[in-house]
Amino acid sequence: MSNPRWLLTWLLATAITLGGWFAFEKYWRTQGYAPTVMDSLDLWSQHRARAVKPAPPQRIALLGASRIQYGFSPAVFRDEAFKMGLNVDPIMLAVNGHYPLAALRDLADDPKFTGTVIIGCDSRGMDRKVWEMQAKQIAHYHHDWSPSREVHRRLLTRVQEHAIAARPDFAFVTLIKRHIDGLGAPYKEYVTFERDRAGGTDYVKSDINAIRNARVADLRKYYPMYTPPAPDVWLNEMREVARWVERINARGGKVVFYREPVSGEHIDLDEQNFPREKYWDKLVAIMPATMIDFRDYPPLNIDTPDTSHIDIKDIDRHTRAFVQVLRQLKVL
Amino acid sequence: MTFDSLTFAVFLAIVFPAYVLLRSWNGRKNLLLAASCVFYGSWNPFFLILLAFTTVFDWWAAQRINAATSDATRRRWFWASIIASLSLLGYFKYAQFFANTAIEWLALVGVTYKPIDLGIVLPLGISFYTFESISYIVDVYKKRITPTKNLRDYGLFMTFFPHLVAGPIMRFGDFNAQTTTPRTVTADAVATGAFMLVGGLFLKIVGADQVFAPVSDIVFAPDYKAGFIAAWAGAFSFSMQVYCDFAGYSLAALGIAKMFGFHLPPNFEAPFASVGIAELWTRWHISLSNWLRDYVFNPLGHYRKGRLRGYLNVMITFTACGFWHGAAWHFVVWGAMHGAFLVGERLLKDSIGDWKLWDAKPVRWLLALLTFALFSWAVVYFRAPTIALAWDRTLAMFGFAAQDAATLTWNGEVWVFVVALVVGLAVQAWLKPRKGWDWLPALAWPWRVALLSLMSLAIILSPGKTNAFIYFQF
Repeated sequence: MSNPRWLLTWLLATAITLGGWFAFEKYWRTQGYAPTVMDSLDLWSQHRARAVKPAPPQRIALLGASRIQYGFSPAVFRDEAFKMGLNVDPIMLAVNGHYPLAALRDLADDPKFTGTVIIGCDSRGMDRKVWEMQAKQIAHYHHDWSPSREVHRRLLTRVQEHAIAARPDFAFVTLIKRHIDGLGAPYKEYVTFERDRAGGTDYVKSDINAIRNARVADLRKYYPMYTPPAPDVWLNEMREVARWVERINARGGKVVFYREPVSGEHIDLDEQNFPREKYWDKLVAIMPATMIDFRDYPPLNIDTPDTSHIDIKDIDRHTRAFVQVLRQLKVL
Repeated sequence: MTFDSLTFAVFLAIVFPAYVLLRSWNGRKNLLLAASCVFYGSWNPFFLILLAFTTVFDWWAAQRINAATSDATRRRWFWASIIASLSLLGYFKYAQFFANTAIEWLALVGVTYKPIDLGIVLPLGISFYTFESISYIVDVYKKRITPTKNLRDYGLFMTFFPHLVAGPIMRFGDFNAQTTTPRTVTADAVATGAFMLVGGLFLKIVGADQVFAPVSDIVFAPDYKAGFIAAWAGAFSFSMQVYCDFAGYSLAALGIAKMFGFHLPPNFEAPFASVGIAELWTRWHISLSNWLRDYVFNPLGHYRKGRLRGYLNVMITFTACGFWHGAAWHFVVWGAMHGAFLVGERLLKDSIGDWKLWDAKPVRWLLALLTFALFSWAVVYFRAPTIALAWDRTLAMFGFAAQDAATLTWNGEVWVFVVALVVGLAVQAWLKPRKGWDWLPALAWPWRVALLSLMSLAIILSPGKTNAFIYFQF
């Protein structure tokens, strides 16, 4: 460089920056934190784009909320199907805390999608009031997703896998704010999340009693404020969903509705508000899809420590059992 | 791709060395044109066709204007080009707005229509490149410049990626001088340009997204009931956010261009240290205010046709400025407020005259703060999604908040904002007498190291939601 001071400036600044970053990573690792992939609209869109790639392999869209996202391993699904001689590509499109009907409609409306849909949902999640919960993801995919975003997201995933500094809860401004508010270090997550958008709840890392009690308490508060639709109204709304399913079927695809395992007071409250015989069982008659309730298949009846989600150690077993059930029902 | 994306880091890591390695100036220009097309097309390849159409049509129209032997023919080509440019802008940016407005107005007289969604996606940067293309045609028509016969050079003027999607709005005359003479890449320019790029990213990623956006997001949430302090905090916060966002983008653009040996005009020069709104508009979005002066205000007659007509011209120009920013009434109100401030300031100056007191330092500081407060009041109409919400915040700012208005909680969020606001304004006061970035090479190297290290580390340690640049929506 013609100006040695500039060279010095950049060399020293780069060294200080990298040193500071290294020290930051080292410190938080010693405090028991680890890097993790963070979900985003871009990551969802990246996987949604995979769903319309031509077969083979056969595309299998996994829709739902947290129970699917933290209950299935796409890699194990693929391996188990491979053992059966099937070439499938399971794509995790479930979104934590968001019921998935809008995503089902979106796939039905997409003529390029010719795959299978597995949709994890209970009767409450099919109420019209919550249909649009994943609308934001869908709008992002159709309007904002671009080659530029794809490159960015793929690189960002790599960075997030290796750097704690890539976690928004470790942004230095956020840490300063937490310090001023006396909140201390960021919360230690018991939920893991991977680049395939699947995750797991590791209850060994958590106070499971507190989580279970909080979850049940929330549900106890929620149901009195919520009026379930009358069974006939609900069923009538589901006729529209049935038409979406027919569209997927017409293109050679298949749809599976899966009532995932829940337990304890959670399922009691669900049953009080959406009795199976008045809702789910009636749906079987009108829906041109395969209907799977975990209670009908003992291998799927897996313990849910917080009443709503299976533990991370059971994900592989759950996934394998589910693939076996699909095979048994000739979906695969 | 945006400057703060990893995609852009890869893009720059490929394009810049390739540019340096190429020896031929034509080869370098070809590379820049191709890279700019990739840069733009990576958002939406379809809109590259639109940009290409505008570019080729206006380049050709300019040739026709220049070659025309009669005034009538010149005029025909001129208007053909202007109408084509404004029609595209009108369709993509304003069609939905006009449809909505028509439906709302018809509803007032009892004719009801269901709202229609035209499903139009706004092509990125259309407002910016349309203005550049109009300025080219006007300048050719007025014989201020000779049109270029080189389509590649004109294409590079339109698409040069540092300024393509959010300015600075370039003039062909300024840019062409740089494309006809080969640019040299010097180590000093690369080092300074890269420093400016880091500075721009720091303003955007740390200032806009991490520090200021959270406060304005709270205060401008539709269901938030803002009290007096909260409303002012939200307004100040958004003023700083939009400054860090847009000045950050512009600074990064200038820095990147500098690395390639190009000079882009500065777009921001310590605007919040301005004394008076008139001065502020010579320091805020400078390339737009110059464009409006040259292609709207002056053709309207400036102040030449009398004082009243001058005031009207100011109002027209700034209302148009608001409408350029966004197809919504709250942007129009924002622009009109600035027009009214400028007229009011002129009236005040004319009636008071040169008073020595105005030059006293403490008074100038107070006036600068008042200018910032006025800007922040107006910016409420820029930020709020509806006029109703902006009006609600205005009432709170002037002491008419709702009874159950929220009091601002002095938590970490607010403390960080307050400290950053004070530092931000102090830095602008320090920068005001310094021209552009000339102070940077003169800064002692240990200070440069400290500044660069702090900014770089702050950027790395500021992951967050990737917020789009605010001016990309225009």
